[in-house]
Amino acid sequence: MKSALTASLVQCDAVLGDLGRNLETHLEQVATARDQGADLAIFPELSLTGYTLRDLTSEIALRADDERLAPLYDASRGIDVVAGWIERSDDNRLFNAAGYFSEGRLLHLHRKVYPVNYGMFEERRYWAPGDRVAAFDTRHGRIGLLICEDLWHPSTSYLLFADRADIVITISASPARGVAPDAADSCLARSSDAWDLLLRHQSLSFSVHSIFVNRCGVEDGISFAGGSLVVDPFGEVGKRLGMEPEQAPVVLEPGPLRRRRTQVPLLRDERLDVTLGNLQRIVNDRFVD
Amino acid sequence: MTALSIDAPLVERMLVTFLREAVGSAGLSRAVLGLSGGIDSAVSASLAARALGPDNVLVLAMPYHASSESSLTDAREVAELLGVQLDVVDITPAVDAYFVSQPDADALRRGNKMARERMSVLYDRSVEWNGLVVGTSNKTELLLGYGTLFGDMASAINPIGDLYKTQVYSLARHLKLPESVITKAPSADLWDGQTDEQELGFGYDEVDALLHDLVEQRLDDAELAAAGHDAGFVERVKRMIVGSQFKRRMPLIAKVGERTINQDFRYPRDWGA
Repeated sequence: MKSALTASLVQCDAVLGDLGRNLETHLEQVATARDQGADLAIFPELSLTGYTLRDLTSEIALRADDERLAPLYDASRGIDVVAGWIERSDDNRLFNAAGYFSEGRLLHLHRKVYPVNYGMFEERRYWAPGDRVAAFDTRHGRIGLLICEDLWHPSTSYLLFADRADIVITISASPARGVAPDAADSCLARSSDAWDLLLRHQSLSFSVHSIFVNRCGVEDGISFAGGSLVVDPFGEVGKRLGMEPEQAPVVLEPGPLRRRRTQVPLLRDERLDVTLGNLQRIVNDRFVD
Repeated sequence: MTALSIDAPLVERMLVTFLREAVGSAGLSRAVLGLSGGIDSAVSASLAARALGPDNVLVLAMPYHASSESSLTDAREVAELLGVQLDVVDITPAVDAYFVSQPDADALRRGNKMARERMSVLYDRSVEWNGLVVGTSNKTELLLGYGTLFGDMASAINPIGDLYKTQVYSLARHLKLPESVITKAPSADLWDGQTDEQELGFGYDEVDALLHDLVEQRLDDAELAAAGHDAGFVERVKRMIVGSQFKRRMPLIAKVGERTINQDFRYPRDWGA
């Protein structure tokens, strides 16, 4: 990480299936982020389209170079932007995508690797799974992007760690579930407790700054849980939002990364060859007749 | 604290936001609901008043001549407490007029007709009021099928359908509803002295504990027995759930075309909201 980074966490609602109105709101919120002195504005999963799209998925899908996204590219001059939409690929597959926009360019595209298909979720019905997990350099440091369920698979965080990410950003549209009163935080649903644990685990195990930006609002009876969060490389929670819409600036410093990686040099000591060798053996054992 | 305990302030916030957004998604700002004098409709009305403002909520008390007098008294007290407009619509003439030609109809048919008469009044008044019909069925009733299809089960949006009856009680206390509404025996109020628990043959505490273990926790029969649930009771409740599945779904459409509503024509409810 080269320098301190101010990120504006945009915990917002979306208008389901209305790209135009959501784009308008994005531009306003990017302007607010500028006013907050932010270097980066981070929107939740599918921020430009809404989440519960079902058959609207194919109708609202856009290629990354679609003209309709031009205002967002333009807005990313002087401030970087992370936003989500349904991306149509050249071969007409539809992905749940997160874009990192910077200086009018798409610096990195992450396609959700693990669309969720159990319980209340039916994502694989509509979206193709992405297959690439990669960190990328920004002017502030090396960043990795994940979308929601990706974080529940520790392999994705591990890959970003191996790829030398300083900051991992997870954007999400995670529904609020569970209202038992044994709250770690009484403002949030029980499902938020798991995110807290996952993000602190990610920070501790992989010595990274973790940023989580989640949706709020209601779609088709489902309340999104909010609870956006930042955790430093020591596993300490720096900021936690409630369930309501909020746009909060947070400052990430290079100091904690340096100190943590000196104190516990997990990245230095990680043996990628051992991981790779054993994974190859396990794959052979499991999938070869 | 039990497995069914809820963080009532959190639930209130979620349901108030739900009501505000769901009514807004329909392009409206008002709601109408039936107020029976019981706890479920009082909780729904209280949430609606908080979400939309009391001036935007119309409640209808719709007594039949056999309804208990105290039901109307309780409905008035709740409406007054919430500051919402209460209209009283006597459904006796409409219901009795129909049964003139059906003199042998039993209590079930009469009860269903009353529930559907109330639904019909609610949907009619919702047009005049320019508001959405808010449902008042709780999760226990919905799972057991203890309600009238297209009657009290009909609504546009339902804030309490994912709360078991015992959780509705917790929410009612948090919302500071009148003690008389909270403490009286739950009743469909179709005839004098009727109570839910007497008609069902078991108590809400008992069935909610079972439903929690069966539905939320997915315990199997052996695990349910180990958790202290009587096997005969488990069997009976499972039969009620399976037997009432049709009440929880939209009418079945026979597929003949390429793209059939709700099969492969799947859009969100909030489409175009």
